[in-house]
This record gives sequence, C-alpha cells and structure tokens, in this order.
Amino acid sequence: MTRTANDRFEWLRAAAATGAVHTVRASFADRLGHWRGKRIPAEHFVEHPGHTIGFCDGMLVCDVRCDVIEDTPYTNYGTGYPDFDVRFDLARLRPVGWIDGEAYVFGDPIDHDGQPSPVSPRHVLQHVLGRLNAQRIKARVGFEFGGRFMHDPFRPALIPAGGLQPGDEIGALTRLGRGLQASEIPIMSIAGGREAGAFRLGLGVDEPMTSAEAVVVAKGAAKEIARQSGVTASFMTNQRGATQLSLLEATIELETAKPTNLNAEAIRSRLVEVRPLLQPSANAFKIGVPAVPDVDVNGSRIHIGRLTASSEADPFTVTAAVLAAISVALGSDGIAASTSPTDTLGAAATHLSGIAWPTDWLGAAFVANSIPLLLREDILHRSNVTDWEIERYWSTA
Amino acid sequence: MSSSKWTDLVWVDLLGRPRVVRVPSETVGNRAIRIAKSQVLAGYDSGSNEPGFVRLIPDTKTERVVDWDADRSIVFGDLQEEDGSPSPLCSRSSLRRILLVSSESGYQVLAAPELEFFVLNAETKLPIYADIQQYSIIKGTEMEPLLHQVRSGLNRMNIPIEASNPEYSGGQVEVNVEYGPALEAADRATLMRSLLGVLARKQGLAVTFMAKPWTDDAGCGLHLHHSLWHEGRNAFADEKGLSEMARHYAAGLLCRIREFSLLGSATPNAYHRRSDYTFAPTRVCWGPDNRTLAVRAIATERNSTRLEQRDAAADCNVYLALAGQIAAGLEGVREGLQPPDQVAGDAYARNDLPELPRSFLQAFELLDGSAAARSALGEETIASYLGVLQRERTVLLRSASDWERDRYLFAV
Repeated sequence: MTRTANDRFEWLRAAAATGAVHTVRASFADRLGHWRGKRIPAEHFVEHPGHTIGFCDGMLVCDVRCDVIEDTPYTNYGTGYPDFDVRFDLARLRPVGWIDGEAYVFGDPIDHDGQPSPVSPRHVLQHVLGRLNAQRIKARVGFEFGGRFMHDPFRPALIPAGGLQPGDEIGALTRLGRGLQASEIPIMSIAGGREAGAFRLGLGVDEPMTSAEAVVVAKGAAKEIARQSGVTASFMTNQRGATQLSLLEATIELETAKPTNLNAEAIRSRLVEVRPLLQPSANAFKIGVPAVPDVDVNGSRIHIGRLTASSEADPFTVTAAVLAAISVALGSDGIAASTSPTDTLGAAATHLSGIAWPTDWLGAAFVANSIPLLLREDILHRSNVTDWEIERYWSTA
Repeated sequence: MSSSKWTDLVWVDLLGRPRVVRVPSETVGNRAIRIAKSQVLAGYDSGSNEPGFVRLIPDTKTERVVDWDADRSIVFGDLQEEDGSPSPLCSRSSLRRILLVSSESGYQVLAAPELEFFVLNAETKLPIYADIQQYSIIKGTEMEPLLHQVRSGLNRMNIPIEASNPEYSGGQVEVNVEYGPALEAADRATLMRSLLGVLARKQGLAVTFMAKPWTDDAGCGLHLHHSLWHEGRNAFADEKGLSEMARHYAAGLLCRIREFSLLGSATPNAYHRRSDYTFAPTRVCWGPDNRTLAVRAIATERNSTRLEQRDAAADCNVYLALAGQIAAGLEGVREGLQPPDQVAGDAYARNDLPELPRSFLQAFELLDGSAAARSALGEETIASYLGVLQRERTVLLRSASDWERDRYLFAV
C-alpha cells in the first residue's frame, strides 16, 4: 500500500516521540549523486514541518573533491555563494535501515524565490519527466551497479574472487541487503564479481525519481556499512589492477503514445553526445562509449536493457540524460550519425556544449554549469603526472 | 534546583574560557565563591599577577544537569567586586549590561551562534579525515559516534542544536545552535565548546576551535546572527524585507567592525583566517545573502530575518564579541546611522572598500584607541582585556616562528 507524505510524517512524529528515531538526515543529492545534507534532531524536524534548510549553493556545482570554480555561472565568488534552500519531499521520508535511530528525507533545492534550482539534477529529471508526460510517454527505470570493497589502499576486501559461494556469511552484505529493504529500497540482487572485492547490486524497476534516489541511497549504504566493517566501498569506474569495471546499468521500460521503430543505434548516437554526463571523470571515460545492447520494441512498448553508464555518475543525471536521448531518438527520422569526438572527457564536454538538444531538454543552466566542471576535470587529469608514467619513463627516458 | 549532588559553578575568564569551581549542590546560592583576579586575567600564559579577588555569584536560572552524570549540574555565575558591584572583569556582566540598554528601549536581542571546529585524532592532533566533503552525509556518519552525542546530549542540557554537518575542510564540522536571547546564546556557545571537548575525549578524539590551525585549510569562524524583537515581532523585518531598523543596526555593526575586531579575534592566529577567497570576510561591507561579505543580510522569511556578522573567530570570548556587536548595532539604531551601499558580487575584489584589520597588532591598536569600545563596554573592561592581550602582543613581537625559520634560515 502506498503511504502518503502525511502517513510518513506521522510515522516520524511517533518515532521521534518514542526515541526510536532521533536524527533525520535532511538530504539532497549533488551533481555527482553524492548524498549530502545536515543531520537534524528528529524532534526539531517534526516541530517544523514544511520548513526549508539552507545550504551553500557552491555545493551544487562543486567537483568530486568539493572544489568550487569561478567558471560556473550559477555561482562563484562573483555571486557570493549564497544559500539555496531545500524543500523536503516528505513522501520520500524513510528509515535508515542500516543504522538505528536515523531517518532520511530528500528534497528539492530551491532558490530564494522558491523556484527550483536549475542545476539540481533532481529538478532536471523532474523537468524531463514532465516533458515526457506531455508527450504521453511513460517511463520506468531500474538500475544495477557495481562497486568494490577495499582495504586502504587498493587491496580487495570482504568478497572473495569468483564472487559469493552458496551459504557464504559476509556480514556486510547481509547488513546491506537487510538495511536497504528496511529503507524500502527495492533491492533485487546482491552478487559478487569475478574479482575479489567486487560486488553488484540490482534494484527493481520503478518510477524514475524513486529509482535514481534508490541508487544514491544504496551507494551511501554500501559506503557506510563498509566503514562499519573497517573497509572502504568505492564506485570509481576503473580501479587500479582491476579488469572488471564498476558500471551503472539501466533497464528502461517505456510506453509511447504510438508505435515506434526505435533501434539501439539511434539511442546510442544520442548518448554519445551526452557521454560526459554518463561518464563524468577522466577515469570513467576509459570504459568507452556507452553501450545500448538490448533494445526490444513491441509496438508502443520499448524495453531497453543494460544501458551502461559509470557507477560514479549521478543517477538523476543519467536517468534524465538517457530519457531525453531516447525521446530525441524517438523523434528523429532514421539514425543520426554522431560526429562527437569521444576520445577525451574534455573534447566530449566541448562537443556537448555545442549540441542543442541537451540544452533544450536538460536546461541551459544545467549544461552551462556542467561543462566547465567537466573541462576542469579533464585539465586536472591531463596535467597530472601519473604513477604509470613514472614507472614507465623515469629510469628509461 | 535539580537533585544533583555536585554543581560546577562556571565563571568565564577574559578570553572567554569557562572555569569551574565544583561545590556540593546544596550550598549553591548560600555563599559566594572568591576567585582570584589573576585567574580571570590569566590569559594564554597564566601570566597575571593581579592582586585581589572577585566574587562568583551563581545565576541559578542557568542550571543544567550534566547529561552523562545526573549527580552533577552546571550553573553559570557572574563576577562581582567585593563591594557587590558588577566586576569589570566579568564579560558575562558586560553583555548583560548592554542587553539591559536594549530591553529598556523595549527591544529584546535574539542571537544565534554558528560555530565551526575540527575533530582531531587525539594522538596525532590531525583532522580525523583529510578530504573536503562539505555536507557529506557519509562523512558525517563517520563522526556520528561523537556528533550524535553532541546533538542529543546538548539538547537535553538546554543547548538546542538545530543541525550538524561536515564543513569545508577535512575533519571540520559546523554545529548550529537555535537562536535565543543573546545572553543565553552566549552561555550556550561557551558551554558547547567546553562540552564538545569532554564528549570528544570520551570517544578518544579531540576538538579544536582554534581560528586557523592549518595554513591551507579553512579556518574556524563564529558567525553571530542578530535580530531585534519588539512585542513578539521581529523588528528587523517588514513587508519589504529588511526593515529600516535593521539597516540602522547594520550601519552600527559596520561602523565599529574594525575597531571592535579584537573582541572577536583575540589571537594573532585569528588574523591568518582573514584571507581573500576563503569565505572569511576581509572587507567592511554588507549586503544580501553573500558569503564574501562581513555582514550578511538574510531576509527570506519574516521570523528568520536577521543580520549575520561573519568576522569573529570560533575561539573568541563569545560574550565580549556579542557585547561589542550588539553595542555597535544599538548605536546604529540610536543614532539613526545609514549603512553604506549594499555590496553585490565579489567583495574580495573590492579594493575600494575599507579592509578589516589583517593583523593582531593592527586590531590591538584599533581597540586601544577606541573611545566607543570604552564607552560601550567600560573603561576598565577594555583596559583589562587589552592588558591580557598585551602579553600576547609582547610574545608575538619577540617570537620567531617555524615559518620564518623555514623561509629565511639558509636563504639570507
């Protein structure tokens, strides 16, 4: 039975009164899908229903290390990094299933005038879904994604090579599965990989907003449970010494207003154009162009399986970009050949800035703020001397 | 009074550090404790030889039972001279006196302290993690064994915590204390700093509120939020946003921000925090929501409309910092001062704006020459405060730092 926002708030009120929940994670997801927010005493949260909480807006356009740059037009020292507020979506209030006494709620970043922040990936996905709805396209999305448990630094942990064995007792995975279920995350599978430390989580197909949020929460749960076990969980795409990549694979179910002849190449050619949003680091770019291996069209129903992005990508952005790409592909005649240079993150980001449809669908502000961050990531990567270079050239050059 | 067996009677030295005399609880209120003036004036070097005593008078309304020890309570006290008059060495009394001026005009000052600090490994004295992860829920989880105790324990001790989050440096945390009457706000902030240290030690950790522990990391600020209330209404808000009274108050804050700087930044180290492009203010300016300004006007909702002065350091005497700021704000209201034009954009780039003091020595000279400070806080209070910091000044002037040795030893 679906529980309303009011149901969930009343649950929290009761849980706060008994002390069963003492803390609320008042949350938002940043442009890389990182779980951010403030911890609020539960009693304080229930005393102020509907209130908003302010955060420095630089954290909506920061890089993976929280660095802010002057090239993002949304905010910089020229704007003074003012606050944005988060308006919490109480329908998304859930217990934190893997830690006693905590609940979490995500919300929408809004500006001081109450308008959704145009650089918030959650808002961008809502905007894309609104347009699909206007075109009478219904979408559902599910994700499967991989990560690694590691001892610091870079030694596999918890899961043996070859994956799980029947009857394996791996406490962290047990806690992860039970914890996600308790948080109402539709966890469908937990598996190891062929390499030690590797794991994959499968989440059920659901409404896109729900599914994207589920990935943010599941990744957070994996990281927190790993720390409880004295190890680290990482979703870096291409890890040192590993042959198995950490990928975010999407299953997409679409129902269109009329029959279509959509094919995989039409989607792929559009996804190549937004590749930096699906693979947002130089490391992630090493996995190659996004794959769209399974497209099954049956009249007005489309099933797309195993559409690949990087595990480190933001699931809201990935979902928004993929659904927009599919919609654009649906509207195009034949297959549009991509001329996108795809060899480096920087070149692809520059190319992305010149394409009209991502700006049209994802918003000018979102694209205009993503580009400088992607370019900077590429510059940092290119200007950095790697261990590999030292090992290869130091004594021989 | 509670049923606790022992009471920590708290007085605050001139640097804002709480000091305790532990007494049987049944004796609180029956006697005055004598405190040596040399202790109140101890400074960082315990270097005072001041003769004489002051009396510690418990303010029993402030009683709090220690959350982790029901046999113990904490009561703040005020310092009086032997003749029963308020002691000029009592910074709590200084703040109380300034608030009385406001209340006699029918206005209550509400304030909220926003404190930043580092959580450290107690052995290495380094932050417990290195990377910047502002607002990270995941990093926050790593600190929850401490921060949950802080939020819940302090709430039960009438220090209502609104939120906590990782701040903009590795291991740095911000804790937001709910706004309240200004004296209560200063008590809460002062006690919170101390209790955080106690709770951290229980976890095998340490905390520091030092203004700028590491050159390349963020500093620790004390942002003080102000609003004036009249008959239950926020007088800083009107139908257009920020009221005329708030503008006068802002003018007062800005008028005195340079000469009162030493009240909120009392160590030489605190001036390393004042660096461009670090989110700490360096110029005398104000305006709407903008993190490069010294005074930030926040006027999004009527009840939460306020002015935030951002220059003080987290390790200051909160009573004196708040007293100085409130005195300045009230002066602005009383004199009908008009603030300068609001600044939009990057205040660090505004070389036309007056600079905040960038060194301890400069701030010292400014406070020493400030008739307004002596008028607002009292001649003897300012003289005593400068006396304590004069010793800091002397040490500063004759000390060679590691940085100087590293830079010059073999280069000159």
